[in-house]
Amino acid sequence: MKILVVDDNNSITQLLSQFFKAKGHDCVTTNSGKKGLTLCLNNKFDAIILDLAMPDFTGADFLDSLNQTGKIENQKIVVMTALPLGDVKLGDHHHGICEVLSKPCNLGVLMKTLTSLTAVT
Amino acid sequence: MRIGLQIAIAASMFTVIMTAIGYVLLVQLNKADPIKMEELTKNITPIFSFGIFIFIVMAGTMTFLIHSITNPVKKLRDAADKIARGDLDVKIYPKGTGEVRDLAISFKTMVNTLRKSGDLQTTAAEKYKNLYETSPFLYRTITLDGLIAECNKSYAERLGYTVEEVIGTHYNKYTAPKDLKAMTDSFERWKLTGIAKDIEIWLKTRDGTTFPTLMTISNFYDEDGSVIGRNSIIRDISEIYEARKKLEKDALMELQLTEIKKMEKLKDEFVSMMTHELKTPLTPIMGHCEMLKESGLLGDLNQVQLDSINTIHENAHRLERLIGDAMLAQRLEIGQMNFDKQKFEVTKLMSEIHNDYSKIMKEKQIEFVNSTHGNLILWTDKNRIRQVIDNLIQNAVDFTPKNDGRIEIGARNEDGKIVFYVKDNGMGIPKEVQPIMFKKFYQVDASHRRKHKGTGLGLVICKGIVEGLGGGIWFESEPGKGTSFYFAIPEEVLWQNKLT
Repeated sequence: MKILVVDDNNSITQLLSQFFKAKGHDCVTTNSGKKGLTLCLNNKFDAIILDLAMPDFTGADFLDSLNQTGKIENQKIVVMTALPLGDVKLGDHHHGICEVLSKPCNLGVLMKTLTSLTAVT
Repeated sequence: MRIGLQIAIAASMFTVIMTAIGYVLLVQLNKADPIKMEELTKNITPIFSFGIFIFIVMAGTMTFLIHSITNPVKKLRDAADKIARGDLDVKIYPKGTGEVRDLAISFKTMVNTLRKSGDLQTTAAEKYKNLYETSPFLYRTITLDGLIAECNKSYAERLGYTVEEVIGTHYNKYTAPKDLKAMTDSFERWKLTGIAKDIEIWLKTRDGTTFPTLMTISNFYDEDGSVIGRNSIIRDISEIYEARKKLEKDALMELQLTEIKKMEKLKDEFVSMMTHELKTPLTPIMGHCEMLKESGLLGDLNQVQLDSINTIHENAHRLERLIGDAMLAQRLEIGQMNFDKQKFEVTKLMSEIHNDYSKIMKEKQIEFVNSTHGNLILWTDKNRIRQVIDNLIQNAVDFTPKNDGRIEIGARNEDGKIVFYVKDNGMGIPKEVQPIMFKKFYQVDASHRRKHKGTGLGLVICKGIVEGLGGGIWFESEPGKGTSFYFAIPEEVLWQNKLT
């Protein structure tokens, strides 16, 4: 599975990169929302893990930009946020978000979520 | 006697008239010719007799004329005297001729007009008196010395006195102490300008209570046009004042409410930010713990290392719960809990929960049962429902005995609602504290809080979430035997959402 992790927190991107690689997956990480969007538009990922509260270019900006390109429906995006549950709604970006997980997230649950998402094509 | 007087008057008048028209009776006497004197006497006698005759005729005519003029005039004068004395009940019959008759007619017309005017005045005075006495407004009449010459019943009664008690007293007796100066100022200003309108003055009643009024003054003048007193029309504006005070209070409250809302919003933003900032570093802490604990993922740990990692992981979990609870409690307090509703299978959720907890329950030697049956579906916030169940399970675990503990979870359809439950065979809740279980920061035993390590917000949050989703939460508990928590979420919400 090829996974893109977009999170401004370096510890988190490092953790997830380490985890996914240890689980035998391919993982690309970035701490910038804009770079994440470029990576997303130029590469094909099986899943994207997206943080929302990022400086300059937020997760919402990422989703809006992706929405404008019309390619959002091709993506499997899992939002991982430390914002209170309910503040982020699945419907806010239409079909953009497949799942919302709250931080801190159980890695086992995250893996299970990604597996079930990518299994449905 | 009277006729004699009139003849004398007539004779005088004749002389006067004759003189006026140029006739003079001349008698020439010639002393040198006495014989001719006899002739003269003889000749003059018929002339003199004729003169007397003329005089008598003239006197009679004059007497008649004078009588016919003076009588009506005299009657008119007597009538005028009566009218002057205020008696309009006089009768005038226009007699005589010419101007005298015209005068009498005019006089009669004048008397009739006066009578009508008098009637109108009487009616107006009666009306005014009636108005003064029966008006719901408070009336008082004050002299230039400030003494009350008259007042109506409304005035006296409102102040707790009788009309007789009020009359003759000074107006300041009825002025509230705080307005004594304002009243004096207004009185002095009125004496100078004669104007006083809508002045707010507080009056004082017999028992010392005060009330607000609006005073308007009308003036009394004497014949020279000088002010001799004033009539005060006083409106009791207690009700208006109360209404105004309430409006002002409401406006102030609204302002305060807006401020409070603003503050709450700031507080919420602060708590959100804090929560976010505290939760973010927990992600790598807990993630690394998880990786280290997973056998073979990052290399095997010895038991001491594993125990350390477990302790770190467990405390990180606790910290996460505390942060989450603080955030939720804040949201509940300001009624801004956000929900993300979706359709989900309750049965599946309960199985997931059962699976997730089986390992921990096994470790704690607690019998963990899921008794959900059938295919239950809801349209609600799945994550929040899970949160409530997690909270209730956590409570049950904490309060269940070390050995022979049993926890049962489940959901069933009941009267159009899905009823969830978490039952334990723990220590139960003492009867006396049962009514305050859903109050903030309450735990059955304060010393237990240290053992339980909770914030005391768990049940408050559960209640907030369940009620926010349109449901209700309750419990049944028997001390020493266990507690069962239930919460019901209405199914109809599903249909309403389907329609919209």
